[in-house]
Amino acid sequence: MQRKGLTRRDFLHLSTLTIAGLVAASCTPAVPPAQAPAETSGDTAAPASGDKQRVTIFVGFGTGTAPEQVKAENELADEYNASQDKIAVEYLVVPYEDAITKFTAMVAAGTAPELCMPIGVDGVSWFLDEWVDIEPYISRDNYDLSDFYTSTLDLHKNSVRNATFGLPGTLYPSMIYYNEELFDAAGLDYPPHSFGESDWTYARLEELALQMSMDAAGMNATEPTFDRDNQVQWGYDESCQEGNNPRSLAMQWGSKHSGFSEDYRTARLNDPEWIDRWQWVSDAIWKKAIMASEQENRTIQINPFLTGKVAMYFCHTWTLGEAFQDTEFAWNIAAVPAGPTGAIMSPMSADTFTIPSSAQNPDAGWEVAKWMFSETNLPKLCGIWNCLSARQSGQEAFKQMMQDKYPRMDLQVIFDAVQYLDKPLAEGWVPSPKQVLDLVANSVGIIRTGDNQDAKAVLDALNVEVQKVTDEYWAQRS
Amino acid sequence: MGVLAIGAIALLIPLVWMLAASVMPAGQVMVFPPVWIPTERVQVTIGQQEFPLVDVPIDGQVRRLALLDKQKAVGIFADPAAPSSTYEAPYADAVFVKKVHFRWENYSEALTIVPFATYARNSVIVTFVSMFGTLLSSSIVAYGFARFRAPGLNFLFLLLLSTTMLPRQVTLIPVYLLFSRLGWVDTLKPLIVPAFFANAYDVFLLRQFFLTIPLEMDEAARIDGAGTFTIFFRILLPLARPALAAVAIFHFMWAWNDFFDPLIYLQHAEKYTLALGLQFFNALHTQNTHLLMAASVVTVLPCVLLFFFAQRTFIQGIVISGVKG
Amino acid sequence: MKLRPSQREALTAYGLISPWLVGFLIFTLGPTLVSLVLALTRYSITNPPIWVGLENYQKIFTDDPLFRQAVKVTFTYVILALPLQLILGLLLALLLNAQVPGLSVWRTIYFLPSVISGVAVALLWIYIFNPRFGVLNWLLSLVGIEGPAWLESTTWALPSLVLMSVWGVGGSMILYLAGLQGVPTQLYEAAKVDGANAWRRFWAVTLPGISPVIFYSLVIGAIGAFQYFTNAYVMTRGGPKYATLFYNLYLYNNAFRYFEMGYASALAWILFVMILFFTLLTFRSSSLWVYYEGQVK
Repeated sequence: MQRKGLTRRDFLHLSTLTIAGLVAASCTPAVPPAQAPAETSGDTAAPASGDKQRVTIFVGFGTGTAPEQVKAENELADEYNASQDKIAVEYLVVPYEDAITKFTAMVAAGTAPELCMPIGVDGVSWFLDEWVDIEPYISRDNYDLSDFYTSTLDLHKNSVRNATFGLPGTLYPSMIYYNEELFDAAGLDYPPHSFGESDWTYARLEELALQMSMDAAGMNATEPTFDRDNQVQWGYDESCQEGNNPRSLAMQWGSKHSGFSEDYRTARLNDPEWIDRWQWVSDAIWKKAIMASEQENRTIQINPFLTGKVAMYFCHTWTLGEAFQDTEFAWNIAAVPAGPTGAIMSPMSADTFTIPSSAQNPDAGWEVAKWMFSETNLPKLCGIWNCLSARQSGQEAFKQMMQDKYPRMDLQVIFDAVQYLDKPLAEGWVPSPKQVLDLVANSVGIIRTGDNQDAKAVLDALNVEVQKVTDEYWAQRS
Repeated sequence: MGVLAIGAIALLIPLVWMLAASVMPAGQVMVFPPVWIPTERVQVTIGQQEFPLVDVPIDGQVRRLALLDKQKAVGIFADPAAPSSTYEAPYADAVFVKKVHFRWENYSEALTIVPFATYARNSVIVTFVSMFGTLLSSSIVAYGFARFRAPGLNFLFLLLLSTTMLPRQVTLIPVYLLFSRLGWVDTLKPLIVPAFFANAYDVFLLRQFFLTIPLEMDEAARIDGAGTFTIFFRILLPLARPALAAVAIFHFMWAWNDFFDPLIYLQHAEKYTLALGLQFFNALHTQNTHLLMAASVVTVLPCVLLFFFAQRTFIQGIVISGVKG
Repeated sequence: MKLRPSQREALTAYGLISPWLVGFLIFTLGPTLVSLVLALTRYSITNPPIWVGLENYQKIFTDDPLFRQAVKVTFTYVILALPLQLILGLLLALLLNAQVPGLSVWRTIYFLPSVISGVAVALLWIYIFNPRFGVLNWLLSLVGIEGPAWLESTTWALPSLVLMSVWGVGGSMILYLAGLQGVPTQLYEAAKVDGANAWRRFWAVTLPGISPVIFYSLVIGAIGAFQYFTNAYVMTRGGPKYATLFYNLYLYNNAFRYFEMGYASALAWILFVMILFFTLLTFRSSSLWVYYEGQVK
């Protein structure tokens, strides 16, 4: 090897040069990405030319990151860029598991995106102090809100900051998916499709579920020889809500809140409605065997539509995506039954856009958001994200899209469910949202693993923990 | 051999499943019990329409018929050869006829739905350039730590090691801020440049190996007039070849599979690497697991090939006897 | 200016390690100091940091049961997984350093699991551990054992992850394989001449010869095990009932779920001190059992 040329002296010089170079580099003034010419060479490039304002749309707080969705989103951006010459839009797509990390890094570095879209009610709540209040924009532009479902107008309002962070955008109401084949096999009538039918209650759901909870020998849960240890099929599953929306459950039993007093200073997770609803969960698993336990749930939860081991599945419309299409079973949708007090509630998940207050061009962000949420374009977004538009004028487009995919499905159930959304939204803001969510999820876990089957004991303990987090939150905020 | 074989089978089960899943329809990936051989329903054409073929007992005799329709719990069946007469039987008794079918098109779909070639190009650039940087810088630094005495050197070594002990979650934001100020965000630089400044894992490893090489070798060369770098390149590096191979393998695997740094620092799809691109197959509500598996198989191949060839360096005896002889 | 030999040697040393030193000053030192300062603040990332002094540390040590749980989980994992990895990796390397037919194929097979990473692996292990339909409990049932609920059991979730770590033992195998090449063959021959049997040769020649690699694996393995994160993040999220709440997972939750970056930084520095203490202990002990052929005295 001929390396005589490089002596120690040369090496030291080289090192010094490197240091000098890097120090120089780090001392050059920061180049805000907004002004940096985009070095894009790809197909989707819409480089911001000198006088155009750049709007970066951050995707990753929910749906919208799958490859075919990204393609469609870029096409929409191209359409916008071609439609005017003041603003250049581009998408920044981040896998949802790590979207928070990336977003916080961008915010901390002062390079926040102009729009986060889509972002769910829960996502909005994580960064309560980060978002721009859009009320001033709405009144400045006299923005017409009449096309939106009235029940959705307050979805993205927050009482603590007294502000609105996004327009109603896309909706994911929930309903009861049912596997027709399991009903047929048990010789039962399908559950009703319209909300509020007098005999469609949780008590009735329980009766149906018992007959479709089966062991390996084909015995159902009403029969004396039913072998619980070898259960292979379950009548009902609400793991989707327990995992995603656990604070909504008690509202079905008549609770008027999602775990807190109106001023969010007192935790109320052990109110009677809460204890009764959670005891119902515990009994449904451990006494009646109509729902799978945590241990058993892994076997079915990944996708009940594909396994066909669940007769009724309480979940949101987002499952109407790809996975649902591949099912070999005949599924349909029914109304959510009434709880023991007669309350009917279909937990809502809803997406919108938000404008980070540290973004470079928040005004341009609003302009782009308006265009995206317009009568023409919101249905297009819904087409990409598989959801119902919060604009009533979008119903037809939704019907068409879904009818092509699921010709046998009764879509009216979805439109009706919007009227029964949870108020206040159970996904909505509470003090220290993720800490509370983690604590609640842990308590759900205790019931579902059977570690403690007494809902009162579990919720009493939970309420103490949540109150502690809440007190800390308010102490810091003041 | 027996032990090796049992262990190997245990280790291979996952890989076999991964291969199987990569040629499955989406609907068979996530089911229990796991499907090992992908199948699809056999369809028959009657008139213009396709119907699934089923085995169904009719009057006590199992017949292979087409399932025409289903009304509540009752299935309507017909013989594809004589479709005019139909039969009714409980739908639940019908068993769908399936045939083995490998969906090779998963591969073409996975490789075209994302700009796979672009991702692969970026991965190759990042991996090989940073591998070169790591090998070069880490071996030089390790040489300094292993073969020389200087005041404070032990402290500096500990300092070097301590850089691996602080969880990176808490330095992530300041580091991002730094790269952002340097204007390096959305370039490959944050993934490449730091590799040229050595890292604790590889320096430590190479130092350990240099320390096993007898000092007499350096001294003999020094007497022959060899300088610091000649000893390094002529004596230590060749003797540490297995260690360099290990570092190369580890670094390759790490850089090739790392999606976190690319995720944090890259913004435009045309700069993404393969590992990052793969993440998008696992989106919320739309999991394309079968495509993920197909793309993963393609992504893993280079690692396997590299290892297969690199492990030849680990053949006992050659190194030392070659030098001493 | 004329330098004394010892000064020249020191300068050479500094010159050689300068690539790392420069990189450290540019990329590492600043962010590290920032996190040290942030540990004394309350910092929610979207709002500017507020100085709170030692409050974070105080809360961690006096009023945080999850901290204690996280330490317990992490230490248990280190104690269970680290020796397993060290010993199995060495055994495997010894087996695959012999003259076995198809050597490169065997080695590749054993290395494969460490190559595959990410979501694919997590999905796979969720299948394997499934209490009812999983491969593992099926195998156990063949020998008449009713397997536990693995990842869903508070008792077994942590051991499950230990078991999973054994699967990736091919990584440490490589290190030992590389180390075994450095043991001079003539030492074996000399030992043979002296009449030492295989067992004796292993203790007298092989083990001292690769002790620097064992030392490396111990130090780096511990550093990695103390900071175990990915699989717990993807597969168990710390559950059930905090049974797999690893230290780094709890730290991550504080940083990026609860946006308590200051608290997370304080947690990080406590972990740093724990790892540093363990590492120093290992280094102190090394003079007793690590044998370097070419150490500068």
